Amino acid sequence: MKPLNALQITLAIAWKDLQVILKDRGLLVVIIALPMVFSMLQGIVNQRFSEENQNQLFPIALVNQDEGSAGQQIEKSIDSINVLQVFKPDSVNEARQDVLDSQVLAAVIIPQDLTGNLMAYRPSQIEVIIDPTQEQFATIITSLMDEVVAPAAIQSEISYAIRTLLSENQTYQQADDHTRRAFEAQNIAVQMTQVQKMQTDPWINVTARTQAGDEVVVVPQNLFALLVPSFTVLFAFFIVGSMSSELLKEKREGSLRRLIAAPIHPWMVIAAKMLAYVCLVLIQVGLIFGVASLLFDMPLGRSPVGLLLVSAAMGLAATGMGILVAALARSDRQADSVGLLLGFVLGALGGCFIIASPIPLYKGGGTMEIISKLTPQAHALMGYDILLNEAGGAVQVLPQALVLLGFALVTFLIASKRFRFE
Amino acid sequence: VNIWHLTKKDLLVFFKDRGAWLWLFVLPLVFLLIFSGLSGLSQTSGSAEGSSDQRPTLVVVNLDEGGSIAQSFLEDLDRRGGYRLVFFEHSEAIERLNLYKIGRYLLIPAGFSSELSQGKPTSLELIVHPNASLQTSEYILKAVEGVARDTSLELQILDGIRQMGEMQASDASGDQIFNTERILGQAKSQFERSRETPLIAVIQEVPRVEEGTSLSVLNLSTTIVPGMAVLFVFLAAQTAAKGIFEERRAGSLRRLLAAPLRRWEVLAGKMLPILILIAIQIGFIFAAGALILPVLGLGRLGAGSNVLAWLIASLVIALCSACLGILIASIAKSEGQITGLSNAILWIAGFLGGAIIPAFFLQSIPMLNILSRFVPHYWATSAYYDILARGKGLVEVMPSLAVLLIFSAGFFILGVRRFRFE
Repeated sequence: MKPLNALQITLAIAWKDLQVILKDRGLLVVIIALPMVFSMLQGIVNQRFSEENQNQLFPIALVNQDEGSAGQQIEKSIDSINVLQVFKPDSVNEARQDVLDSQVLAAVIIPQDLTGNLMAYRPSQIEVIIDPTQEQFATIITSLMDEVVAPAAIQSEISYAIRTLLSENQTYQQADDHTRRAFEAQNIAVQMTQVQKMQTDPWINVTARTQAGDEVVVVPQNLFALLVPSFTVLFAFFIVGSMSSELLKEKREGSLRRLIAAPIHPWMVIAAKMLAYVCLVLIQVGLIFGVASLLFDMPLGRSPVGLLLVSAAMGLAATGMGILVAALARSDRQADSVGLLLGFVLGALGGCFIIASPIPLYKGGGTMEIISKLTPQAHALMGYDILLNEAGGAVQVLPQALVLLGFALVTFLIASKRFRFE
Repeated sequence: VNIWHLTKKDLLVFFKDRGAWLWLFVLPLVFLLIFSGLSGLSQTSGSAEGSSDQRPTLVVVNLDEGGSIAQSFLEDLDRRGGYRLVFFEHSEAIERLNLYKIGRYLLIPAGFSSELSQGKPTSLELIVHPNASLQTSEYILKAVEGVARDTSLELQILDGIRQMGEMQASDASGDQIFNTERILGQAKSQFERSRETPLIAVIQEVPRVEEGTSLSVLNLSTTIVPGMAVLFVFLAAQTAAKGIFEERRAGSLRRLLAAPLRRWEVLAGKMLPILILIAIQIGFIFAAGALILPVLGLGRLGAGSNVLAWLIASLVIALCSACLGILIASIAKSEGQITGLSNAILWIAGFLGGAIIPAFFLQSIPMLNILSRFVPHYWATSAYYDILARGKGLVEVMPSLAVLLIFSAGFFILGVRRFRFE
């Protein structure tokens, strides 16, 4: 048989198979509709949750019963904290009720005689009533208040220290009113300087720094670029069960045996079936990525060739696995079940499930990363990650494509030794 | 007796069907392992679940080990900072931060204590992952600053007195007023006093609430296992439907019509084995969860404080799924429809109903929040969550169970009306 003829026949069989596949609504639902719906639903939820998390404000109620400067100073400090949304009910009872109704996370009560107590160096208490149903977060408000009251407390401590030292001194005791007022003025100046210093140049400076560097794994800003490929790859490998059970059904019904009698090589039939399923994967990726890009601005990268390469290599890896399962399974039902299980287990190990952490297993470090990279799913996802999130090109995804093609070749070779046409 | 024979026969058929085993027991187990395994991997460290400390965690790297001021600072931070401190080695913290397994960590530099002891300013650093919430970082900074200011109070007082001393330097008696020994003594006594009785103490009050009204933290054991149970219990409906469909195709249902039984009696008889199977399935999933979760450090799974409520809720959920199975079998025209369409609908319903990701994530999106009410999964997960996480009893979960019973009645009536025996 001439090579051109063989190709034509293979393409003709593949076209026939593809038409049959496209009529299988159950398969189309699983391969195309489910990943599309899942990735979009989860994308919407995660995107919203992430935005809410970034802009999360803690509602609190503030009741300032102190009319002096300390109360005002603390109230002003609380108002200036960006993460707080401050409500000011008229009374303590009202604030307490707001807490009990979970309208606010906590109520902060500044006592009536705070300024007077500070001036007299008497201890005071600021009460934080927290919502018992959100206790684990509400306690954060209590810790924030520690920071808020610090300037007023430090002012009073310094004032008291200086006054104590002065009071023990004879010169000060014998000084006239004018001199004493001068001492007091200096004391106040010291307090002010120290409060200012505490805020601008504290003894223990606490700063935040964002970690940078190539080794930092960053979650894509558009979460759809993470979730859509994950679900697409997960469900693409469900063709393993479908393809293998279909092959075994054909074998059981004798259609494969009949083909052996035809003047074509039996493996052309298999190659055609693989081609048809690879086309299905390409249609799946094209549709899902296209819709995600249109509806949710998911980036598609800059390399359509790269996308085609990774998708085709993934399709071949999946179909190679399909033939292997068909070669090893005893019945079409068994092949279907094994294909389904493999799809879920390898998908999970490969990093298709984004649960609890937005970092997929294949870049999560440790042993799990090594195990993850043994699955074809991980390499398909890595390829899409490079294309979609790092704007890589076809050359950058060649290693992933080669691994997938290698996987397809190995499974195909093993299957070709084991598969029986009758 | 006849119904029992029928049930026994059906149970035997189900147990011989490996596909049914896959959907009823194997896949739930695989999913449970995947979900809990991935959640376990993303835990910061030993979980606080099961213990009374439910505060959010703050990772700390202490390079000043043995430093007394660092130690005292950390004790204060743990006591008042609103966070449960988790200590890591520096390299481990960097690795985890790079992989976004933690959002941030607090770094205490080497020499922190000695520098402060020598009266030199020092600094603390909060190192943040680029994707971590800015808001969260901000309130952690505030909390740390608050504790840091208290730690440096002694230095602050000393500095204030020294400043006053410098102002008095022109005065001949100035040196005598603020001699070093006296200054140190005064600052130390005030610092010690402030630790015992802070000048402004922030006290926290947690109002008492009725038991069971507290919303607990996102406890993975109380969301993953019930979620998986609900997802697969309803997916079992399609396995049941497939069984019934097979019988219709084989003609055994037609033969049953010859028996002196009404249509609904035959269908009710068909439901009994399904109900038993699903009840076994629920027991299996919860038992597996109870065994797996503690191994992964995700807390313990119990049947809540009310075993009876859990048992009745499980039976109602199983009934609802069995009725759904009858409905699917009555509507589906082919096996492909059962595996494809109903599969898709049940997975999506599972997602919307909070079986795959907790319902409260979905509730942040009004549209999904409304849609979720229209699927039985939502009421099933709500009932389980109320019993297991909120410790509610049978009476309190009655509304959810009532809705499930309405769903069941609806499915059954529709199923009986549309059911074709041949």
